[in-house]
Amino acid sequence: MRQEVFRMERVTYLDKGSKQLEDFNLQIYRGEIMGMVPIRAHGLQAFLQLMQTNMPLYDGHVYYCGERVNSWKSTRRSVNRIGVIDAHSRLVEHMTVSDNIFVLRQGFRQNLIKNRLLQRQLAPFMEDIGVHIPADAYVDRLSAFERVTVELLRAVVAGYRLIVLHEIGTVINGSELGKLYEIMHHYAGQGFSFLYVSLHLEEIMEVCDRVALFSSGRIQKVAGRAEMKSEIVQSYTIEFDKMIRYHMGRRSAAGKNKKAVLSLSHISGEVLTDFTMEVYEGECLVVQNLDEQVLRDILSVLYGDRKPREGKLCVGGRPIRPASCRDLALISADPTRTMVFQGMSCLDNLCMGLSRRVPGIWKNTRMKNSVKREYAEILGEDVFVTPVEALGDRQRYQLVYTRVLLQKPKVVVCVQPFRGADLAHRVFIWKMMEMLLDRGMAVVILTINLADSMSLADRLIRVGKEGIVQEVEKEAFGSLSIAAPWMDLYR
Amino acid sequence: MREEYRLKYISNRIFLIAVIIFLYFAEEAVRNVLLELRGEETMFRACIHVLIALLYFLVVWFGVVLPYRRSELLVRRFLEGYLTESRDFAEVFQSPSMKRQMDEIEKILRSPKMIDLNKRQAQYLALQNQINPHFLYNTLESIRGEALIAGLSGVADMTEALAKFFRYTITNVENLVTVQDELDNCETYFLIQKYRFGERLQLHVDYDSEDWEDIMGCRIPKLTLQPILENSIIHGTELKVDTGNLRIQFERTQDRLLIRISDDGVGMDEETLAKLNRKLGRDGNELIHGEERKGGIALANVNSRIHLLFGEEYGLHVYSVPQKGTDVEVTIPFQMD
Repeated sequence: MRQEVFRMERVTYLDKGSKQLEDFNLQIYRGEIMGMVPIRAHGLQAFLQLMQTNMPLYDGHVYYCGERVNSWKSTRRSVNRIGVIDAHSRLVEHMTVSDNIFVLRQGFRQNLIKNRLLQRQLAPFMEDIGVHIPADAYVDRLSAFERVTVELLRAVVAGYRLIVLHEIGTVINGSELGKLYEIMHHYAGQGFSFLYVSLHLEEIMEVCDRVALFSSGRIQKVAGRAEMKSEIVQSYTIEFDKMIRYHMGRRSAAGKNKKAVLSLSHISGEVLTDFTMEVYEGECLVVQNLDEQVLRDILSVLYGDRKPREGKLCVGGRPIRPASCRDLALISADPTRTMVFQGMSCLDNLCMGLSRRVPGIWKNTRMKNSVKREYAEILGEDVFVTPVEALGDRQRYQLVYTRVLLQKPKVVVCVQPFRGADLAHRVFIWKMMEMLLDRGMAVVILTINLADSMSLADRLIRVGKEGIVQEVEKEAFGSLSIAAPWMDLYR
Repeated sequence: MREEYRLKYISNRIFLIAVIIFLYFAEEAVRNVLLELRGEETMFRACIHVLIALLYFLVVWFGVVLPYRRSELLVRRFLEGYLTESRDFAEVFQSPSMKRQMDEIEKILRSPKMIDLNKRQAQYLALQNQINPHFLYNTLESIRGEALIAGLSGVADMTEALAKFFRYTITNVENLVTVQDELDNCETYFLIQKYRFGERLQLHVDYDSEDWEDIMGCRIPKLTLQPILENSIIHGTELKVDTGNLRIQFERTQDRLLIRISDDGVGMDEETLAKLNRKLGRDGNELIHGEERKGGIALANVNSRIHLLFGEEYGLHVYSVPQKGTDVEVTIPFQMD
């Protein structure tokens, strides 16, 4: 007999009048690792929020640990003891691991904090999962994997029966993911349940007992382990895989040009030491950061936030200041939120890409109209009459990438471009990046998870704290152990 | 002015009076505080006025406004077709007569008559061309006898299965039967369909062997599984060229029985699926407004009966992927004899 830990029964949830979930049914059993693939992510955030907080429902009921905690008939607005771990840390920075796990726990009653006692209490948990993180380490010094482990331990110690892991693959690299799966299985064996939300079916197939396909606020299909490999489940990712297979063939025919457009020489940052890399004209280089802090160091150099301790950054062979260099464009993570300026028209948003090349663009109506005419083909006429706030995610992605197109840089750096994008948007982002490559720009993808980025790559470099750990040319991609269905094309 | 804000409704008049009284108390409180600041009034008096205004607000808000809003919500949902129960209104009845009125409505909705009406419809659905059962049994027995004499064992078996199916559908009159009975009837029905489809149709039954006995003894409404199975064949696998696979999966939790009937047929598009699930969620529409059922009759009927017998937390939910198949999940409280 299986025991239900969490259940949503026919839940319909509206947020500001917009339907986020409709007739949503889902049950998670005790000791189970349940997977979820967001095919269309609309409503996913609302779902995760509803799991934790009992907000007023339009219809349906929510049960947690056998008790009805929310219903359309009455809402208590209480909080469910469900832990959510995602790409952003929920730990309190500048506090130690043991403080985060024990002291900040609900019900911690000691007035005097005995650090040694807490360290002794933490030790068996660490031993249990075979991970060694110093109890007195400050959490802002931890690697992404350690941070996730600490958050997981915090949830376990707090007695949360259900733990949600949302897109963890975007911050943890492949080998660490394997270790995380072992920890999840360990706790699942002890009766804890997990909901593992990921866009990559390959990840889910590796760790989950069942998978639910989430689409626009509904569950389209729930499949067991045996069914996961069936055509029904695979068909959702098949379109993406087909497209990648087709385009990979096309890109492999493209010639190589060995003129360096971007070079970072002997860069040292907070944790990174002596990092040197070159990016060649028209190539797509994937930089996998084996550590999140390394990514932060590289980003601070590229954004020009902080001067590196050592080394220099050159574009086209000349040292540059990133903030004022138009030959270098950066597309930050989650660009639909961070790179679209509210309160400006779509045309003005677009013309920002031109402002460095044409200083008087803001007053030049003729030029702006000409830009509008030219880019209406890509963006569509509607975008220019729609307020920025009302644009959909797809249009926002288009706007950001088209702006870069207008800037005509020599090299474009995309920071975790696929993070947070659902299946439909991933296809779209992929096409936009391919468009940049077709126009002769070099594209650098900074990422942690390789699954999507590798399909475009000409070269891969893996970077650790001590600089480049491994460099792999396209011809040798076949030797990489990446769980992606189209990897066989490289073999 | 929007209809719901018009003063012709007593609730709006009461609300208006409450707001006027609150404004009076608030004005008194503010005046006294100002007078206190100017030294023309004592601190104690000013505090009392502020407290009265606050207390009045809290009492009206939590004692009248919120319960009234909840009561309004429940009535609105009832009119939308959701089945509310009298006990949902327990803390928010506006008057004793309203409470009695709700009790009466519930009595009518959950009366044996209503349940019987739904059951009859289920039988009718199962036997679209219903004829006199005794005449039917006799005829089928005769055909079987003739077939056996002629050495046509296939025809004899088929006739026997048909007779068995009709007997179960028509003669057993109780509301609840065991899962075992329902599964037997499904297998009989499937056997009949096999004569038509041959090897093109396959049925698989999945269960956890540890719970098998418990599951088979669980009581569920009669004719729950067969109409769904029939639906899966007619709307799913029949339209498919290759072999159609039907799967019945049983799962038991601490308090519920989950039955999933899946097919790998043609499935349905998202819009149709959303409409169907919406309809299954609001079957009260039909009971309250007498709305006609258009499409998905069998599923709606099974769902209505489960709602009437066990409450709206149980029932049917449909998952579907176009061109890949449909799953119908039946949720029933776990109860044995």
